Amino acid sequence: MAKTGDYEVDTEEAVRTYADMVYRLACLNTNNKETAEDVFQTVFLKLVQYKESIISEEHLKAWLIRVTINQCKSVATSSWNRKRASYEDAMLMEEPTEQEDFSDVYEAVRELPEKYRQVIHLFYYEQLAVKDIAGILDTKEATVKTWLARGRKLLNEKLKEEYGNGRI
Amino acid sequence: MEEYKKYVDNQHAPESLIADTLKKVQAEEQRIAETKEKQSGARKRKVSGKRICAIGMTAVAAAAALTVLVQVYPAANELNYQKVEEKSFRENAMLEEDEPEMTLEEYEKQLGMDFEKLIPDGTLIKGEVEGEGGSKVSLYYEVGGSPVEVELSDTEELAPEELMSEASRVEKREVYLGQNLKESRFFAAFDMENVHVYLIASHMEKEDFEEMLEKILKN
Repeated sequence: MAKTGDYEVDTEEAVRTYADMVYRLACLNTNNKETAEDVFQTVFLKLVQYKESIISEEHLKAWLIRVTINQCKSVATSSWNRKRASYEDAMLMEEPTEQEDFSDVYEAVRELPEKYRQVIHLFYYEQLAVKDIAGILDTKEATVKTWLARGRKLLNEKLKEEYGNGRI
Repeated sequence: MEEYKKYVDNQHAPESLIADTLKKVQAEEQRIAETKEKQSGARKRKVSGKRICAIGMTAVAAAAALTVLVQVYPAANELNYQKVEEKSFRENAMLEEDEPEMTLEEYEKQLGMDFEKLIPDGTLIKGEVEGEGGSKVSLYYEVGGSPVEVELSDTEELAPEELMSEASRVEKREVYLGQNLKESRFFAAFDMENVHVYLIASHMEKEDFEEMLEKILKN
């Protein structure tokens, strides 16, 4: 049974601490920067409503990741967003970036099916343990391991086929 | 994956976005604080004079403290949602501040329920026994990233009277539904094995709310 602890969320501190984490996850899972920014704000406004139920720093981080992913899914399925995405997709693809050398791998991860994309990002970038990812995505550890293996395989194939680079 | 890490490392939330979010967060916190203050004032006024007994008074207290506008929406799926203009679930919280006389585990036994399994797919975050003699329990869940608050009691009606104007049928059971679209909240009141249940889901899509309800009632 979960217990009430003394931990209290300082929402403003949480915004500053986890801004990049939430933003990166939102960018990875949405079609454009504007939507990613909408998701970013919604996540932290939800935190204001929900903060009394957060029981630890680890819970806060896991909660932010979960809510960001869910919010991205939610906007992706809204009809308004689907219409907007159709013409804004092109803008994102053409957006100049200062890290163009590495964008092939990033785009390849972005193009992975959602479940593989999430686990690849959380495991390799956020460096979360399989157990923690399973908790966040509400699935079994064995499933996360399978998704990781399949995601890696797909990523290798994609990089070889589309970008001539099979290294991950 | 080093290349991926380097690329993502260079993605930063724009300062303007952080600043704008901080402003909105501050405004929301201020709004919540003001609401709580108003509610606290209302409660103090109510308890002065004589102590208010929890049992049997919830609906009356909620009705007095609230301005709940009720409007029936005949939904396409034939569920009837009442429009709730105010945060009735907060107002509905009882006025007692005594130490509960019962633990959560004891309350679970009394109701014959497993609180952790009450919402399939939900994670129980915390629970509090409230009211005089432990007349109700408040449980806080996380369901798909959305907060869900559930109040249970085998002795008192928990939902505001205004919510109970027209019942819907979910999983062949009578359920009273409410919504506050402005604050993205959905409300449900129903009985399970003689236990009164009042549920408030925040920031949840309507279809997810209905799916969650169906699962609870099938459970």
